[in-house]
Amino acid sequence: MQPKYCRVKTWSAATEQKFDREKKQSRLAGSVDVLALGVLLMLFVMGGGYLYSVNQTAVHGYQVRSLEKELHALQQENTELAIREADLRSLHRIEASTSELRMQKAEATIYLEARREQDPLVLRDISSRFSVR
Amino acid sequence: MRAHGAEIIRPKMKKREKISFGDEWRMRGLFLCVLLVGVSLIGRLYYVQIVDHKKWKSIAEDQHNVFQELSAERGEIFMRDGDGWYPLAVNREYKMAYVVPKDVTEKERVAAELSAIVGIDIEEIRGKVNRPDDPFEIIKKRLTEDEEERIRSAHLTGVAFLPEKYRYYPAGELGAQVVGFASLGEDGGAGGYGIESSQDNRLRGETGMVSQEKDAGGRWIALSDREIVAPRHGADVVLTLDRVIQYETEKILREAMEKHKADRATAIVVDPKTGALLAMASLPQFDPNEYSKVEDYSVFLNPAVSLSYEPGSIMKPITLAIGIEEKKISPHTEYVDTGVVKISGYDIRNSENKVYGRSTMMKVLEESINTGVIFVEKLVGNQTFRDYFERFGFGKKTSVALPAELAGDTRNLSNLRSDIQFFTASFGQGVTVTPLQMVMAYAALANGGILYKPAIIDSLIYPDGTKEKMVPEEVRRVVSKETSESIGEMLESVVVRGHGKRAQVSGYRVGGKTGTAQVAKSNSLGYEEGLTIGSFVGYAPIDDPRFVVLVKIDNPKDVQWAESSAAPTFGRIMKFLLEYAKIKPTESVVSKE
Repeated sequence: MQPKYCRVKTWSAATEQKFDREKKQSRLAGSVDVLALGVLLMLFVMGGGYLYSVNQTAVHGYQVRSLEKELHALQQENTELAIREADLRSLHRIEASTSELRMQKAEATIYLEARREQDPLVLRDISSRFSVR
Repeated sequence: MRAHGAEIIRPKMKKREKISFGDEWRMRGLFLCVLLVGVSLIGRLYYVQIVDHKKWKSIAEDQHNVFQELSAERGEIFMRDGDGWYPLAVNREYKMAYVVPKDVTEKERVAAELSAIVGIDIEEIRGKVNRPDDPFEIIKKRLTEDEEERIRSAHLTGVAFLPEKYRYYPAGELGAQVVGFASLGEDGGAGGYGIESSQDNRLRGETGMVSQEKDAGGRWIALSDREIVAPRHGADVVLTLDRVIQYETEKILREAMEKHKADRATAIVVDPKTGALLAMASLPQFDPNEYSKVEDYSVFLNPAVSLSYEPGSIMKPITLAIGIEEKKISPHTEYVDTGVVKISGYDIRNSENKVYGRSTMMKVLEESINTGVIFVEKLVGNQTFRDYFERFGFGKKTSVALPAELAGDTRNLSNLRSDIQFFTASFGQGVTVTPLQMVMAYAALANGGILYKPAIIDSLIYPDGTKEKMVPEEVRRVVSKETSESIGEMLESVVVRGHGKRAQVSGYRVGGKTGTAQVAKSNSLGYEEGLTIGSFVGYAPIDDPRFVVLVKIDNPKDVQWAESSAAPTFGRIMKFLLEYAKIKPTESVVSKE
């Protein structure tokens, strides 16, 4: 016995076919949904990959900048060391330290002649060539 | 009909009741309002993003971008030191201490500690620290390493450091007038005096710029677009000065100046074969690191090029060279000296009114006889004498790469009929020359007769590493090789037998000439009483000159003649040079024992 508020509808074969077509369309629509989901997922993954790549580049950029700063600091240190070396090589400083080092200025210079063709190790004192008065 | 399918159909809903007229218009009105708002929003977006695009883009760039000038590094200056170089002027980074008053918590402690470390009055620092609205107050610039370390160790809040570049001169006073000084700025600084001034364009370089996006914190975004124009740094300049020769020359000159209590002293050492300046010393000196503390600015001038003077008897060899070149005389040509030459109502006499009688040209130089050179000048003639004067470089700048060079004054030779001017010019009075002009003229006599342009720059090193080596520049031939050899022998006789004995260097053939010149009054005619300038210029070894040296001692107080002031100083410098260059002696060594 049918309830009061509803009734049963019957249909023909043609209608059945129509219903089958509609069901198929519905299944296709479902596949499209899956495809769309897939594309969305791919976009999400690619976006994530892009973000990762950009982030890595940014990180490397900051690393490069940090290395540049370090290089600059080392160059500055190198320059400072070269300046200190110049200060230490100053002739004023060297001359001032001669007394500490107990060095004496050479007043007289005697030139000796080495005769290589006869005996390369023998140095002849040629001071006798000069008349020392 | 047989059924193929069935479904349960639910009862239909009751038909909706129709909306009233008033409700329908409210809906439409609401829709219109939303539409209007939407359209105006879109319109505004269109206006901002399309029509006004450029304006907003530039505002955004201004906020997002940071623009910074990139300073050019000023080129450095070096001098030769053996096979290498020694730095004369470099760029050095110093720290500047500053305080951010609003960040300082312990104001008294900070003021007291800073005052003790940097040596500034505590009240002054206290005043700076107690300015709450001031974001930045400089405490001290150019901190020493020790000061910086002590401030860091004190851990003072609100105190920080900024790096600043300054010009530093490691050699101090060495060659100060040649080097000059400079202050650094963003565009490579500005040079004052010396090489810092004359080569300022090469040393300075050009600033660059960088433009890049910054984040909200003001940090540069490494990934974003960067527009960069690299700065072009200045070129480094290598001078021809030799460090050891310069040092020793200055040392000997200083001792001479102190001994004779002179007002000023100058010495120049030249390589006659190239014109390269190996030393250029002037006293008194100054320290370029402390140039701002110098009170007498005249000390910045380089007297070797910026002061001219009447050279006196050191001009005589030039006159004799002219006579020999014109074949009017030879070293053994004789004339009779009567002790005076009368011209235009004036009497020109020899020094100390001496009379030498029959004399050769050799003796004219040995005894420095004024009438002897007048004799030669008369034979040569005024026109020829003036021509040679110019050929030797007098009256014109040498074009050395140093600032403020004088040409000297030879205007007295403009009137060919004024014999007295030519007579006095023949022994170096009435005309002015610079020490550099004189030493270059002697270099021409030493090297076989070629006048060279004086070279102070050896090479330039550009930032990309390329090197430009300067080549010696011949100006002209002034005398023949034979004349140069004759003059060399005559100059040697001055040192061996004449007034230049104290310029001798045992074991070597040295030639040169003394000159004791009067000093012209600056505000009237005539010469200053009691003021003299003693000069000695010469070269060695005579048979193959390697060094030409000029020594000039202004107003020595204890001696009158150059043979007692400039000549012995020359001898000491030349002795050092010959031994430094390891030149073997060729003559008998005379010992004082």
